[in-house]
Amino acid sequence: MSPENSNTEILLTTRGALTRPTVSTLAHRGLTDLERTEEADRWLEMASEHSSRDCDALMAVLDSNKINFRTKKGRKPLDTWSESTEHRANMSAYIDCLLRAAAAKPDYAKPQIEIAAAYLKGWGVEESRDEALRLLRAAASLATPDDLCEMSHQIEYEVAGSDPWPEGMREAETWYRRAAEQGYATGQFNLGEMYSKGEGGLQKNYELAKFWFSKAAEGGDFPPTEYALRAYWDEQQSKSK
Amino acid sequence: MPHQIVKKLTPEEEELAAKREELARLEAQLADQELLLASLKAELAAFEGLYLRRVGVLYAELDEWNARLAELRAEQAGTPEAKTEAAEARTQAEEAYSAAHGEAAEVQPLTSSPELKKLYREAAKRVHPDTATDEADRARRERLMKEVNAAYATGDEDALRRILAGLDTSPDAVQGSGIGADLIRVLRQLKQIRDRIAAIELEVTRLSETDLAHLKAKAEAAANEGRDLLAEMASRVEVRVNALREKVDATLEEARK
Repeated sequence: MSPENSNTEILLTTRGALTRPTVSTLAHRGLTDLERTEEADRWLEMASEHSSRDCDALMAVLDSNKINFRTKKGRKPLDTWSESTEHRANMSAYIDCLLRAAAAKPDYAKPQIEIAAAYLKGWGVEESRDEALRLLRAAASLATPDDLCEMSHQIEYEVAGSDPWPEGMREAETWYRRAAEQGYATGQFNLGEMYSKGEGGLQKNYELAKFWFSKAAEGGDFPPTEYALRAYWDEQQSKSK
Repeated sequence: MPHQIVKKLTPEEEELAAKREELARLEAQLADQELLLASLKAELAAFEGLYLRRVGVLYAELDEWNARLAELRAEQAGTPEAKTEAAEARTQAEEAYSAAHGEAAEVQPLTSSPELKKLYREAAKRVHPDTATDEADRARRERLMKEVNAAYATGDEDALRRILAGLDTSPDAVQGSGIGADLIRVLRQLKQIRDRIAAIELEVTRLSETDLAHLKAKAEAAANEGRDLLAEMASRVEVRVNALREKVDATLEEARK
C-alpha cells in the first residue's frame, strides 16, 4: 500500500463504525422498508386524487410488487422460497402496504379482498379462514360485480384440493349471484357452474345451469358452445342414471 | 516611503517563493476539505447512533422473534431444512443485536462550535501527513492527524489546543537546507496535497451515496415538513415485532396442547 493510500485509510477508519458491515445492513433494511412505504404512499396519493380506475392501477402495482416480494431472491424454487424467513418478511411488508391502502380508501373493496386472500394463504399473516371470511363479508357491500367474482374465486381456489368449506362456498354462491343478477357474465357463468355441480349449498339444477350459461354466452365473451354443451352433457348423464 | 533595501531574488528563489505561496493556498484548501470530510463523518456517525437506538434495536428485536419462531418450528418439524433455517435466523438475530447495541449506537450528536472548526482547520493544516517532507515525518504526522480527527469527533477543543501547542516546539518547525532541496520538498508537498484533496472528494461522494446518508437526507426532508421520520419507521417495525411475538406465543400455546 502506498503512503497516500495508507493515509486515506487512517482518516477513513477514525470513526470506523461507519464501515462496519452489520451496521450498514441495518441501515440498508431501514432504507429498503422506507422506500417501499414511500412507493405505497405515491400510489395511494395517485389513487386518492382520482377515481377508482386509478385504484385499479394501484392494485396492479401492488400486485406486481407482491410478485417482486415473492421472487426477489428468487433463484430458489418457489416452494422453498415461500417458506423462507425472507419471504415472510416481504409478505409482511406487502400486507403493510395493503392495510394502508385499505385505510386510505375505505370505500374501495380491492385491498380488503387482497388482505382476505393473504389470510387464506397465510402470506404475511396467520392463516385464518374465519378472518378471511369476515373481511370478505365486510368488502361485499362495497364490491363491484368484478370484485364479487374475485371474492368468490378466492374461496373456490381455497377449497380446491383442500378441506371443504361449506360456509365459504355458500357466501361465494351469493356473491356470484349478485354479480350475475347485475348482468355480469363471469358471475352468470360461475353461478351456472355451481348449479351444474350442486355447489355452494345449491341443489343440482341443470335447467338453471343452462339458463345462466346461456346468459353468460349472450352477454360475455365466453364461447357459448363449450358451456352449453357441458350443461347438456351433464343433463344427459343424470337422465341416464 | 523610505528607501528599502530589497534583495534581488535569484530565479530559483523566485520560483521557490511562488511555489510556497501556492503551497500555503493549497494547505488552507486542504484543511477546509478535511474539515468538510470530518464534519460529514461526524454527522453520519451521530445519525447512525440515533438510527440504531431508535430503529435498529427494533430490527434486532424483529430478528430475535423471527429466530425464536424458526427454532420452535425446527423443534416441531425436526427436519434438517428447518434446523438450517433456524440456525440462519439465529445468526442473523445475533448479528443484528450486536450491530444495534454496539459501539456505533453510542455515538451522540456532535455540536461543532465555530471555535472547534477553527481549531480543527488550523491543526489539520499544520500536521497534515501530506505536507510531510520524509517518511519519518509522515509517520509522526499520521499519528498526529489521527489524534486531531479523534479530538474533532468527540468535540474536544482542549485536545486540539494541546496538539497545536506541542507543534511549535517540535523539530518539524526547522526548515531544511539549500534552495534546491527546499524546492524539491515544496513540489513534493504540492503533489501530495493535490492527491489528498482529490481523494477527499471521492470519499465525500462515496459517503454521500451510502444507505445511511440517504436515510439521513430523508429524515432531514421529513423534519422540514414537521415529521419525525425515525419515529414513523420505528412504529412500522414495531407493528411487525408485535405480530411476530403473537405468532410465537400462539405457536408455543399450540405446542403445549
